[in-house]
Amino acid sequence: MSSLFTPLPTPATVPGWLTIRLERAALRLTDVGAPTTAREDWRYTRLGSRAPLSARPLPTARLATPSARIELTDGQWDTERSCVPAALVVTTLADAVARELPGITMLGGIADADEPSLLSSLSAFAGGLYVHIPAGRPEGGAVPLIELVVSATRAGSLHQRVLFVVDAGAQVCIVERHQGHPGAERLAVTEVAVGAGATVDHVRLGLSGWTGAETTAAAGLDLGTVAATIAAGGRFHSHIVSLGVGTTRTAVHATLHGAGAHAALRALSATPAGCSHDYYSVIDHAVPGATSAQTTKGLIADGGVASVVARVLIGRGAVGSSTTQSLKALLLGASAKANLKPQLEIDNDAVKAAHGAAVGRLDPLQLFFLQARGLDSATARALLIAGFVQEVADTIPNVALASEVVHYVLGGLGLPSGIGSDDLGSDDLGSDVEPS
Amino acid sequence: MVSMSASAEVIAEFTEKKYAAGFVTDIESETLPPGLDEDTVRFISGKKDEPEWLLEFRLKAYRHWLTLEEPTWAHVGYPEIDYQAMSYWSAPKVKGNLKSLDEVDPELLRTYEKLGIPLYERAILAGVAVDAVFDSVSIATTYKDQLKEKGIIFCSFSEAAREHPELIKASLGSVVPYTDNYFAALNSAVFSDGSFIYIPKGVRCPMELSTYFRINEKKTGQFERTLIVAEEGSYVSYLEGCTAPMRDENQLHAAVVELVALERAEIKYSTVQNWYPGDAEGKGGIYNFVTKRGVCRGRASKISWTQVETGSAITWKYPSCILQGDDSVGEFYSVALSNHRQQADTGTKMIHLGKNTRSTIVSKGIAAGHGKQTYRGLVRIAKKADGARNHTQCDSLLLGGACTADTVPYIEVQNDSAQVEHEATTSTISDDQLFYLMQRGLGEEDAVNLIVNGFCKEVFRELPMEFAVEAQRLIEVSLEGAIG
Amino acid sequence: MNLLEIDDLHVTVGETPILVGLNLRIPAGEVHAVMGPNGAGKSTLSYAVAGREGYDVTKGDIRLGGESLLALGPDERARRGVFLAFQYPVEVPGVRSKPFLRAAVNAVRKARGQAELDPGAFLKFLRKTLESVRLDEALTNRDLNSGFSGGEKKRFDILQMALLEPRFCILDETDSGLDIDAMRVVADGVNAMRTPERSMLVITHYQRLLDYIVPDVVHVLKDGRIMRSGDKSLVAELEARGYEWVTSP
Repeated sequence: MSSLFTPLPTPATVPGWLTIRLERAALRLTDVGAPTTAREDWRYTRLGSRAPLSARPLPTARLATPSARIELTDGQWDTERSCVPAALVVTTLADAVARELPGITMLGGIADADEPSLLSSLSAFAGGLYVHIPAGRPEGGAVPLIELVVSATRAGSLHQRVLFVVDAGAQVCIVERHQGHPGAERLAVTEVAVGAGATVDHVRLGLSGWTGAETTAAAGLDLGTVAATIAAGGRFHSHIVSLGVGTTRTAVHATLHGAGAHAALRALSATPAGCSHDYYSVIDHAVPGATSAQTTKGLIADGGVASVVARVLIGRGAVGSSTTQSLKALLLGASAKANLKPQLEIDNDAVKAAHGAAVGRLDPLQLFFLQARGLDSATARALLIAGFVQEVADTIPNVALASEVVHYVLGGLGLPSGIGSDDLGSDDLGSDVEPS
Repeated sequence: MVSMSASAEVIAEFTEKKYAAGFVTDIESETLPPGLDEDTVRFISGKKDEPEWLLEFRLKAYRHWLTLEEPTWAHVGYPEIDYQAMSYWSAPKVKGNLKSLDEVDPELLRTYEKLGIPLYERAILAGVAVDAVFDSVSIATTYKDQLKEKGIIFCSFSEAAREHPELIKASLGSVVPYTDNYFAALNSAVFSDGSFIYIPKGVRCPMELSTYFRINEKKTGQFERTLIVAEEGSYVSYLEGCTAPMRDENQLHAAVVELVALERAEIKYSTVQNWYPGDAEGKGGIYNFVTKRGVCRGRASKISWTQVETGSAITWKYPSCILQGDDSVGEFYSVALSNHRQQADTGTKMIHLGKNTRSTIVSKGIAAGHGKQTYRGLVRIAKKADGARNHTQCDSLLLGGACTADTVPYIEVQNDSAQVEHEATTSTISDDQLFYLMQRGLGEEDAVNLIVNGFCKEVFRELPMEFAVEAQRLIEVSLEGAIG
Repeated sequence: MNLLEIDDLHVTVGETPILVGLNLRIPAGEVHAVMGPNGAGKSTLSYAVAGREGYDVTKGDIRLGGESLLALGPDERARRGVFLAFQYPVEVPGVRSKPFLRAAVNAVRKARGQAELDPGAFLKFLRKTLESVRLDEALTNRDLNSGFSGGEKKRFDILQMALLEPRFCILDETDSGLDIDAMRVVADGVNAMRTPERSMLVITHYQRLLDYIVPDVVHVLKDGRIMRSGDKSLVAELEARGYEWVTSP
């Protein structure tokens, strides 16, 4: 773990703005050190020793037709297996810095909170990627879908950093898959600059410890950060799906920088025995007239721990803001644990804010209703769990991806994944499925 | 609407003098020079003829306090407190022990008149037994005889330490150990007085018991200590009220309250806290750093906290319940108001240990002016707390663009049969609401008060009637000029 | 022959006895109504028959076609042909209606020894049934009862009743919250399902539902027992004189 929080050597030739940022990051990292549970932000994250766990088999399925596929293996961009259309600019961060590509000066400036993970991996920019999404729809109407596959083939520490620059008015759906060796210790940071009026759907599938091969290793660590800055009228929809083997913590920082900007953060987790999944989010209403919504749902099996800390900051000047929060945890075993902290920090009175949180097991009345219709108790439970998951999965704009997520979540808990899905044959279903 | 015109009168009455309890009583008192060391602790203990074990408790607490650092996690800001610059002992000069109210300094009694709590008549009319703590020393207790018949002990803490050492020894520090936190450690070292209540097995206390706390002297801290023990099947309702003079300086109030409820016992603890809040610019006011905690030790016992916090420059308090006995019940009802430069970081902890334990939290925060409000709460369901339930409702009302309201709830569940629900809203008074009420003929101030009252209703109704009226009035007065 | 037999039924909820010695016989093909004041134990009766957890039978027996139901879970009772139309059908957000309906239909068919329906066959069956209860297919594309209006929920329950083809139906205050048109639609759906083999128990507080679903026998449930039974003329008498008038069995 220690190597995760050690600054990597600063590259020799970088422009002044970046040198300053790198040096400041290194200084702050030296200052605060590796995170511990004594820090409020890391209160529920156990970074200590972790028992060995087995890898999960990773289905080979990939999205049928992504506009672009980018593969990063062990921190290196695998250009051979990647496939990028001409309309997109994909290059290394080092190259983007050297060529001063649009928006590159935002590198390390979007995720600049006092987070050791950010500080540490900022210096990893040399191995990272820059992706520029221009306005307009190159493929005749369809929203471009970018698939980013981050794999680890070995144990040990792995730093990753990607910057997405989304032009004003552009639309894109970004899917990140983090998978591979169960012993890997990962620290991955994604920065997204959402231009004015742009719409970005970002899906992070946390599948660390899911591999093609059966392996047992000391359980890994998957620390992820997704940071977005959202300009006026921009929309950022984040979907964090945590299914990793071992300890995972995903932090999402969304800063609403312009009027009419909107951030919708959703999280879904399925936590099996021996694993702990943390989700930490901060939505910062920095300007008037922005809106946000947060929904988190956690399924926790016997012996699993899931924690959610969801913060909303509404500054003094951010009048006319509105925000909602709904955090839910479903305990599926006697020794499942859940921690929830729905936190509001509001500095002006022209604000609409509401939040709710609930922890419990499956609703006995719903179970009775389903059983009274002839479903046995196991089927009724599975159906209710699938329904719980479906509510969040439904917000993913890509239908194939949404059903894949449901499949992973239920599979991760050893539940039948066909239940509750619309398996009646798509021709007959009519309005339920979008035309493909 | 009769009640409306009545409240309008009340407002008019208070327009001139916003903090009505802000006078100083001119009486002779004995005050220790500023400073804190082991000798201070010994001096206090000696003044009170305390047994050796109690002095030992104080000294252990003092030594532990020296190792601690002042907590910084609360959302409050204040200049560093110089613990050597305040006095830890101040007492009205009296000759010997007080045997009856006649021996109380008449000037003191006039103070209570001014505060609206004459010890005689109103106490009798309201059926309230009043203990008054004046600069940390309990002055007089009414109704002692009547309570004595039932075996109820209601006296000052010092008296209890002398007369009922076994009861004190068994429970002191058992709910809030001196190691608990910075201010609890300080209190354990230097507490001067407070109230002690003991309700014997099966006894239902026939009247509301009540203590008024008053800080009078300059540059003194108040460190009272309250302990209530309710034996099996007993019931008691206790009220405390707090006021202090208007001064430019900040004064520290660091109290500790411990409640113990045994099987099927019920303790209802109500607070109307109106310490001097400081002026509109934030000058002066009390730092109210209080540790209050109750343990439902026996099966089916119940502890209910109700608080109306309108005073103090800074409030830092989390009246909590440890639900140890199976089927025990914890409740927390709170209205906290911060106007001008007031800061309040308050809430509760509900620790569910026993099976089928239930808790309810209703918190209403009101921020106006440059006021800062933070609700901080913890609901923890331990592994063995099968069937535990919690419901939390936590609402904030913001009046004005410069105030803040934070909500920091922690929910930690380790038992799958638990059911925990948390709901919260943050809102302001809408123009539509105001317009609607004003169109029906209400003045703006009345309309605001009506809405604020509605906001607080769930909490007010938990208070005994006469206190509910006082609480409502306090809120109205505290909000004076907050709108418009 | 009696389809449903209830003998000396005692049911406790929490620690409170609600039903205290209830007897009821419903022959095959008959529709019986149970009327009673609020708090008489009407819903408790329906939950006890359907097997809801927390409704403890402390004495007595409930038999369907001669077989005791007491040891069976709610799903096993449903598969033996007990159907409860809920007073307040439960909202289950996230759970799609169509896959749920198919799972339920196939669970019941399997128990009856019938072949499970493949998606195509199920859809045909569903559409036919939708027509018979005059319900729009769009409703089945939404989450189960989620955001349905009161009338939609009740009609959706009747749809399930028609799909599952039960032997014995309980309609628990099916009229509550329905306007007169919606009630007529629901009653038509129920009446269409009356057969010489199928029995029904209609639980209601008011007369008006019984103008549309005409019962063969009417029982008055009060203080946890059947206090009086009679033909449908009893309904008018109750309406005229109130429940106070019924004082002892």
